[in-house]
Amino acid sequence: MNQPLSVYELIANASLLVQGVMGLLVIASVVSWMMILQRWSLLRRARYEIDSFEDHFWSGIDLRSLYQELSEEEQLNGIEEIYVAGFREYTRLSEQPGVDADAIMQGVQRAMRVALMREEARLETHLPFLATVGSTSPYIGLFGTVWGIMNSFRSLANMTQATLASVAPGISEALIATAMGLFAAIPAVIGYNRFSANVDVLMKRYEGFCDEVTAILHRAAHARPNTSEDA
Amino acid sequence: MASLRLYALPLSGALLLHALIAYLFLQGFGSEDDIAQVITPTVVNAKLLVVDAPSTKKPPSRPAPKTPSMTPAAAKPPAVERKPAAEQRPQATTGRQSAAELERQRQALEELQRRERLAALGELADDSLQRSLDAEAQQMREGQNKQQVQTYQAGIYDLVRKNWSRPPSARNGMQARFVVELIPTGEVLSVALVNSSGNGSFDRSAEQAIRRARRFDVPEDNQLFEANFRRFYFLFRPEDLLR
Repeated sequence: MNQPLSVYELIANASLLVQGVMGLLVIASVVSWMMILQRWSLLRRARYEIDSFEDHFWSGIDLRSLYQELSEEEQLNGIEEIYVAGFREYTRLSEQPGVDADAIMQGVQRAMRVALMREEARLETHLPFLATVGSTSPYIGLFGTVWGIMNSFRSLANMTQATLASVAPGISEALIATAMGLFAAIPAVIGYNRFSANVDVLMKRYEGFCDEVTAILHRAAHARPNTSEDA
Repeated sequence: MASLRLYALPLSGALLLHALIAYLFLQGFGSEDDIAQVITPTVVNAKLLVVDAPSTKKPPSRPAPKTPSMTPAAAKPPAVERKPAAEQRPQATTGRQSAAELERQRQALEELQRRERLAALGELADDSLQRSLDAEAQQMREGQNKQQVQTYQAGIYDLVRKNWSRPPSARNGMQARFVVELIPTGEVLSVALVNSSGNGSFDRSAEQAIRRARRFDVPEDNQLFEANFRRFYFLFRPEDLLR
């Protein structure tokens, strides 16, 4: 037994199952980091978009011209999508004769809710994966460790004089699996908590925005019948 | 295609992060042990030799002081360090330094001289490779020996424990250190108390236990015996006593 036990040697000498566990954990860690980075940039962009859109929205711009402006764009981001969905429904329904204001508002709310749901699903994709990695990878690592220690003690039984040096490498090797499990789990759990909180905040803002748009359209819808009846 | 564009950057970021962490981890884990390795400085020297290829005398003089300073408590470096002394007065060495050790020193010396000749001849790359191979082999031998020695030490301790009849005044935390001398068959030549436990009957009982064991299991390998069991400190420290 060579005295400088490098990690590389430990991993290379580990049993096949423990190596498999380690490989699985490395893959889980890489994928969860990929998800974390991707979610992070996506949520940051979403927040930026909602900020800039709200600024634009409250700058006193006419709703109809905003709608026109947006419907010419090819790619709409989350909050624009919600606004466009609501306003499109409003214009469609209000152009039809004989639709009363409450029916228009119900249609508008439904359309916006659908867009909101779609947006929520988009923001929350991959979060369950992070939760799964965060909760299971310590157990997977622990399994590898238990297995490795089991084997190292079993091989100890064949020795007449057991020294610490004869078990230590096996245990050290086995513990790497736990370390890897924790290494994969901790960022995943942090990422999951952080991102689900961020998604909640964003959804609250979307909902608030929806309510504001609904209020404006509600006013407009209830103002409309009088003018149409007058005409 | 769209998903590829969406995930390519995060994926490469994640892979880069893991590669970095793995690199740092492997570096950090090995750094403490690297000091004890003979190989690392040799490899560095090999590079130096290639650079200074025309000046023949310089390279061999440089590795000699470097190697021992980088290797504390290794078996080989002292031999290299004491190179001139060993050559001049082999008779002057004390009785503890046996023929085998002298032989080893001479071998190391010859090895060194051979290397110097090789270096002078210009076979620099070959030489450094050979040296690092030697160092590696040496290190592996040392590691094996260490484990073997530990096994025998544990055996000796067990035997003493078995032969020990505990005095009623023995308490936890008592420890006595003896110098034990053995002959190559493993029989006890002499036992002398070095550090007392402070309790006379404990010391006496421990000494008796060593004498009563009479014969210990020692390695067959003479070199190993001479280095570790000819004369050694024995720390008797039972841990299952009353408080």
